[in-house]
Amino acid sequence: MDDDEFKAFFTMMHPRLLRYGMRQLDADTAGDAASDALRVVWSKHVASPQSEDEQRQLASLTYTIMNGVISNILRAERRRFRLVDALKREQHAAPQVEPDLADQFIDGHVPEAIRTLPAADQEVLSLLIDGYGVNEIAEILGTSPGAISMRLSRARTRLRTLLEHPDD
Amino acid sequence: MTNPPSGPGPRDLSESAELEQQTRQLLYDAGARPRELSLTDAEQRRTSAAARAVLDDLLTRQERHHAPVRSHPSRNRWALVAVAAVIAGAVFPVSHLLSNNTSITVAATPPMAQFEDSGRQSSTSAADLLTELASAAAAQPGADPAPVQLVITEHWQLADHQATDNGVTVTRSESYLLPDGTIRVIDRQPQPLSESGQMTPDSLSNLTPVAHDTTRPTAGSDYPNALPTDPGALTTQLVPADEDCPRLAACLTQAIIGLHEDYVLSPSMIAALWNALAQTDDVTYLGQTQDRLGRPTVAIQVPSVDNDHDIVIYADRTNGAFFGSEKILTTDDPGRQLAAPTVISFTMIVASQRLPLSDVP
Repeated sequence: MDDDEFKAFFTMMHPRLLRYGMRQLDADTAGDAASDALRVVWSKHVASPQSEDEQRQLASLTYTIMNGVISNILRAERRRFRLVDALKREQHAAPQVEPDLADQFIDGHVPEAIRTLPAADQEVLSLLIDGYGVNEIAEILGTSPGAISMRLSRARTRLRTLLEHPDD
Repeated sequence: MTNPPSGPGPRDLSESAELEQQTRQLLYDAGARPRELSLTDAEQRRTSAAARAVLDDLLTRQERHHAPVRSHPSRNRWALVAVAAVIAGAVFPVSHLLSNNTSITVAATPPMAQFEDSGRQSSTSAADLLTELASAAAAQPGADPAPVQLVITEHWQLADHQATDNGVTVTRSESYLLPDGTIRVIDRQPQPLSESGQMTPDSLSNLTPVAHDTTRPTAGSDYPNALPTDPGALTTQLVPADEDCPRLAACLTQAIIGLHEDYVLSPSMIAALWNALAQTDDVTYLGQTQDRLGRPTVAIQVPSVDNDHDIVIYADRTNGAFFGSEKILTTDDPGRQLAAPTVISFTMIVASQRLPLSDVP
């Protein structure tokens, strides 16, 4: 990939990676993570994609790298705040308070029913909740749009059953 | 029925689009709400500027991009080089030994520390040294009982956007831990680090204007006093088993660094922390050196959890005080065009003392 091609790729992917990163990180950290992921792509001397399939594969590779960068950041953060968390757990061990509804809306909200679905269903549904479409979910998860549509269809069926028969 | 929010960007008008919309409606009716993923204007400006800087940086470094990278050194290689230098009777920057191969290090980074009296030469083991530090710390008088804990640090880390000619700039942070358990951190404008890699007396006394003034929660102002002083119990408390830490010494060292950077610790707690670290494996005594503030110090190396860098901690052998820490890249990073070993961050404790509330700015 030459300079111009990489520049175009960077310009296209950075906002998408940033938005994806913001699902777990603050905006500035997500921006840095997006840059880190693209830097890795640059260092890999990847060939310029010659087809839509190759373009999608490169985007998937970049999301995979982004997931690694995010994991590293979160692991470091967990380590950093382990002491704080430990004490908070001790301090709040007493009465269990329901989360504030306003907080749920600010941070997004996933209904409890979804949390009982298989992890693969939760993954695809949570991306859908955040506004991602089938094609982009396919890129993020490194699979084809057809496979995501099937996963989505199955997840929707399971979710509907769960919502209609919550006690089953 | 309320309409759910639509997804980002244009969509294919296909079956999958219909499936998306139906599923999204089901989720919305079930109470699902999206996260807030849009940027404020200020965030947009900041992230765009940072991204442009990274892109420009990558493209302008293209010539270097294809420069050969040394094969990966072993984790402890840079430490072994330091030891070899001392065995040979020489005392000089470790990086000089690698000068023929460090041309790909283009970002500005501070020089590596110089070591003498390495562990191998003096037959002092890391455990011996840590036990010695614990004894020295335990013999110190107790801290002033004033309510505010002030920790002043000088710190630097390799930034993504750091250009070759920017030099290394160091930021002073004044961290006031208040009795209510919150920490107010005042960061001052960065100032250059000297070529020797140390702060000069002038730079240490020169207080630059305030850049950031933020407050964050902590685990409580008395948190360290609630920790056990038995080394085993302390380690268990600081590195709980459910944290799944793959390298105990590294996780314990991070906890020790975090405690020193937030709290003014009692002599007994400092001693307990050294004793706990002394009981771990994977710790190496590097030797004597001077830290970034020019203080005589002893250095101990701990490989990180990630395997790509080592943590070096500095202490005062005379009183067991913790002086600070550095991270040393131990694996070449072609993405950032860094050849190991390279200093990628440091934090030095300038002062750690208690104050009356009236002294908080």
